[in-house]
Amino acid sequence: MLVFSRKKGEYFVLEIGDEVVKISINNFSTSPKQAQLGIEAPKHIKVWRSEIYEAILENREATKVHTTSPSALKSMFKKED
Amino acid sequence: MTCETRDFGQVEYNQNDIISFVQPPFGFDEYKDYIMLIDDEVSNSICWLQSIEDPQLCFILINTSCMYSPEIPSEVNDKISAGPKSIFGICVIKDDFKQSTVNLKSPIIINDENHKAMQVILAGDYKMKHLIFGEGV
Repeated sequence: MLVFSRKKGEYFVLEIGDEVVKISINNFSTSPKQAQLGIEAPKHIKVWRSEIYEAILENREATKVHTTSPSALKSMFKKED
Repeated sequence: MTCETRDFGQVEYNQNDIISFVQPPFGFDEYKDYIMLIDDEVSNSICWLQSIEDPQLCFILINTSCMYSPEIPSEVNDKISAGPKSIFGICVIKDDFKQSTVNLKSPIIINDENHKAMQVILAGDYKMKHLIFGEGV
């Protein structure tokens, strides 16, 4: 992983093909535990918090499974009487 | 009304059956309206959350009431109103079904009365890949 240091007013640039994403750090004085990042990206580039991105990946995987029919699931999840 | 489904063919539903997401499943922002399907031969705790907008979009959910009772984030009442709620985990069913998992970290919460729903991310230390058939919470 690349680790950058940034001063106030400086930012990172992600250049993806012709696309440019700018990432800046917004709080230089407040919390030692949290940094605030400012991200400026074209609309079609999705920017996610990591915890939401993990949930997205999990949701996508859930929709791609093959064993989904009631007849397949009835042996796994037996009806309780 | 009728809609095509992934696993149940064409089904009929009423306006009242629609589960309406105020905060859709993450990554599926454009799909807000679903119906819940169950099967007579499958455990009552399992249901299919079928999009009424895309027949191919369907999640298998497990009612987690017998698995855990997490603290519901305060924003939930603001977004889907107060009242009794059910908590469902999204399942990833594997071909080797013992490896199947349920996402307990970001469950779907449904208001039982108005059928509004949202997916949340819980603060607690819960697993996104909790083995359904194999471990305690």
